[in-house]
Amino acid sequence: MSTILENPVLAFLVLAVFGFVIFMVTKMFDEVKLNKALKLKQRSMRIKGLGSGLKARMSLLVSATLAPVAVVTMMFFVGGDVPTVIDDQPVLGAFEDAGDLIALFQEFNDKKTTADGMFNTWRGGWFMEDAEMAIDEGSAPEAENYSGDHQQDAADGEGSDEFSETNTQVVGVDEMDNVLTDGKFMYVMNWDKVQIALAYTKEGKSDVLSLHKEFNFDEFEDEGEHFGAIGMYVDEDHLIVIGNVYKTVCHTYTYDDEEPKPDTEEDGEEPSDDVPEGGYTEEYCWDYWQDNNTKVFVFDKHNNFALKDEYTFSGWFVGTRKIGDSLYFVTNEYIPFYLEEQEGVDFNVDDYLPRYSVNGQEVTAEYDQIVYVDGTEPTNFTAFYGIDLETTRTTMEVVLGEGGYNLYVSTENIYLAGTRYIWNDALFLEGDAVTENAEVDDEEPPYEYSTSIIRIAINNGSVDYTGTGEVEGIGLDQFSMDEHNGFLRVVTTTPNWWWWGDGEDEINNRLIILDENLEEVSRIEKIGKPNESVQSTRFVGDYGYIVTFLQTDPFYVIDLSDPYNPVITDELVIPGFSDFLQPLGEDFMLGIGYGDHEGGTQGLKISLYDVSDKSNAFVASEIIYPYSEGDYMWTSTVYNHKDLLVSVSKGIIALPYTRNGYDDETNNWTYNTGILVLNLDLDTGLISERAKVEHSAGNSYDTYVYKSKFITDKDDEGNIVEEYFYTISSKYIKVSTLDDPETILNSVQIGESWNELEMPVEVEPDGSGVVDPGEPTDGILGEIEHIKDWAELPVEDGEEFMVYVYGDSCDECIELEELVYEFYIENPSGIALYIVNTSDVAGDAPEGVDLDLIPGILQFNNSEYQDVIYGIEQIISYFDSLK
Amino acid sequence: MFKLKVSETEYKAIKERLGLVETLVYDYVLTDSKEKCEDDKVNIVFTNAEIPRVMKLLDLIVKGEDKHITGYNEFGQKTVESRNFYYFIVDGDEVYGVLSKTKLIIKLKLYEIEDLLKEKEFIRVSKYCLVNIGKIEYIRPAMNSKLDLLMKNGEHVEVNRGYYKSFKQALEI
Repeated sequence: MSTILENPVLAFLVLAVFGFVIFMVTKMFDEVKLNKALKLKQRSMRIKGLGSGLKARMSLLVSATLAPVAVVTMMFFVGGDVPTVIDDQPVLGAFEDAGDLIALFQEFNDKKTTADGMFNTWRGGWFMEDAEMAIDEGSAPEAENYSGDHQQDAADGEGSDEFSETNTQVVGVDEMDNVLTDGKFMYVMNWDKVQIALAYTKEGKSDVLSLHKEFNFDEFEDEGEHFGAIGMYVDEDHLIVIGNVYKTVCHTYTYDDEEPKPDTEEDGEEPSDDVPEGGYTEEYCWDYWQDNNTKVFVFDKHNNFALKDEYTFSGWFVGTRKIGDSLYFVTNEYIPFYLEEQEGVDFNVDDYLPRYSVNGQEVTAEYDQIVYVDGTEPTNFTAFYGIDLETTRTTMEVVLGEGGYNLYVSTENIYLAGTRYIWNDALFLEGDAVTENAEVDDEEPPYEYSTSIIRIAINNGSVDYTGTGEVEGIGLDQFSMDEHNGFLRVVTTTPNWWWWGDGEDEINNRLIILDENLEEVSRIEKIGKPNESVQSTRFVGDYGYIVTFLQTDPFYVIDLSDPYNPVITDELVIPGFSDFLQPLGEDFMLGIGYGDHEGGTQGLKISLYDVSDKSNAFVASEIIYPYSEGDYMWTSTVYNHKDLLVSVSKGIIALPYTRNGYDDETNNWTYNTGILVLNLDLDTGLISERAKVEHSAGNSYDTYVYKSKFITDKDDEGNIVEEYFYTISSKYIKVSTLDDPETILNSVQIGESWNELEMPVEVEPDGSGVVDPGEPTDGILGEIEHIKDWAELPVEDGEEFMVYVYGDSCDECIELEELVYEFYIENPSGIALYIVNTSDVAGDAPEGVDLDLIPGILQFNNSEYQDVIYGIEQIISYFDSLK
Repeated sequence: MFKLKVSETEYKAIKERLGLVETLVYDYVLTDSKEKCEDDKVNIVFTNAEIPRVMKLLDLIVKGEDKHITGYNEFGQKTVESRNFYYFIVDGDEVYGVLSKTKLIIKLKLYEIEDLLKEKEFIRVSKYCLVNIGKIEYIRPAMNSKLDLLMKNGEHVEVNRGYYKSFKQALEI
């Protein structure tokens, strides 16, 4: 006590903690009272399925209350020791064979299984980067020549040297795309085809617009293989088409006569009696794509697009970039370790080792080449490939880990960000005891997450693993990372896991700067207002621009010229928010996102930020397309930066748009899609609408607009004669000029209407009066076979069985659909379950059954109807009791 | 609203099966014996076998008539039973009825909806918002004597200071 009195700081601290505890206890009391009353109220309203968030919430509040008490107490006894962070180093080349790998996986899995029992956390998913419009099925390139003699002559003409290229993140690092031009041809990935249209020649100008060639990847070498293109590159010499190849795989199981079929066992049914002596084999083909490859076709432009080289990479496609003649790929292969424990399955890690082939020559990774970063879940091989397109020389680097989700490529390095677990090793020392103490350990989670960043150095088509860095939080997209002068700048967010957490401290947006050794040199924490999270990020040279959002849109300018000391130089608060930022030189930034005139987000908003004065950014100009009654406009550029066409020198911005509206005169919903063209004048800082080029005919959803391109027509002296503007959709390529985009000079149809995507049924526009809600749609139960006639029920057999009865006009039944479906599929009870839709069943119900009691479970036994379990809650607990 | 009068031994089990909440003041007596009926109340006499049917009856009594509200979204017009709405909110010139994953534009003023649903356990939490009490998952008091409501679809709705009292009253605190 005297220590406290002698030390005013400590005394204040104790007082503060005391005050905090009082405050928290009052708060808890209030909260318990309110929620208890709510539950009681809902119970009296006879609401089914009451949640019970209270318990978890209370334990959290109690820990939050006790935490400062514990800290102060510790300060008395220990004296301010800071907890240490375990620093794991990547293990390089530690594997000799598949056994090492399986052992590693087992160890990891044991840890994680134990941990997941005590602590549930969310983790970011894995995703395929920037895949363009995917295509159904197809196979080997089979070109179809459209050009007649006349057109072939035209195609011999010369293209322009000035045309729009893909809007990429990093200058000099090309990203694959679905529509490309090389100044002469227009390349369009259109559903199941790659189409090449002649777009411009010096001689014929835009009049030559016509379909030149079409690849539909139809006839493939192997049975059961499918090719789907996901993107293309084009350069002076090559057209490169990238796609996934899927293969369905079959497994053969052998059963001996003792053993029941695995599926009947799962269903909890008795082994069937008809197992033949001596066992039997059965073949199962999986419906899902188990084996898959990424395939790359390189076509020779100088030889009328003949196939030049063919590359295959094992695994799912993650991302790709192209720098000059070098092509880079990242793929991911999941290793199904669980198969190892399944009998009769021939599981071999060797089969999943990354491998590639160049024109049929196959190379497989060696175990001692594989890099493992400690803490990452060892269930995926992530392979990095570098290709020299001239010599076809290919190099490979394999990292064992969780698989990444964000790919950023600078001119010198590939960075792949993924999730990493940080184990709290102390918890695992006592083995099984851990699980029992689970509930006490809320304050000390068994693991936490961070983002691991794998760096692969790239140089002229070769790849080389150079290290792994680690940052807190989770990155948003490829724009969250940027390399500049050897430093890597990363923006991450630690999301609000606990929605109820106390406001300010929960969401944390950080900017972290790593040096060449991927060691942190500086950071800014808590960017944004409380509870805001990062919406978009862009780095331009020495500056970073970050948009966060909750209700308004703070736009932050961060000075990064001293990487050791980044400073937020400006904060501009405007309504709405930008989902994508496009730098226009050093002085302007284009933001595309949402906003309206009332300060909300009910509209499409395109803003031009003037950032020439880094301490005083302002909105120079903005265009808003507000939503109104059933009318809204949208652009794909908010999530796909490559759909944006922007040229400062030509003063234009063009982006695809889709507008859904309602025509009062015809009482029809309308659908317009096309390219929106804006004037861009950086001298005055103004953007304004120039034109809309429409591609949809009438009101049918038959067209998808991809993007726009321009090709500049010059005379022999290099003076600009005309700027041709091409707009490309799934149905047409249309050409006009940049000056007058709406006057179409020429157009070619490249696709059919999507007949299956006709307009929805016409409806009355006004909400007056009650309208027939229409036919109910089939729920998930529709997939299960129903009893169509009461007479089908095996009542006479005397066996025990149940019947789930529901009806079309029963709102509550909808809530049970999924549960009943799952129960039906798994049926752990061993009692046969039948399904009856009372709205669709013939005959008379068995005696005693009251069809008003739905949803209900009718119980039958000894050839008679016994009882009904009626009501959601009752059915749920009945199912539980059967499990 | 209800009073359950059955034998001690079965009381708990029956109450649970019926999902019943009893109140001090009540209009309905639920009993398994004619002798326990009360004169000035509505008496429901039932046997164990009829419990499911009684449940149906209780649902009817409590939830009352279905009340449908018509609204539309980009896919057309829909008529939805009021209990399925999570909340109604004014946004700009429109009133939206929010369902689990979608929202409908409702061609009624918010006070008209409030009036229409006054029997239906909807409660005004701000000038702009009318909330279905049955769809609240959790209530969290915020710092500034506001309440943050987590709805069962994961969305948040705020109870404004001015409506705090009536909100508590609606929960019968």
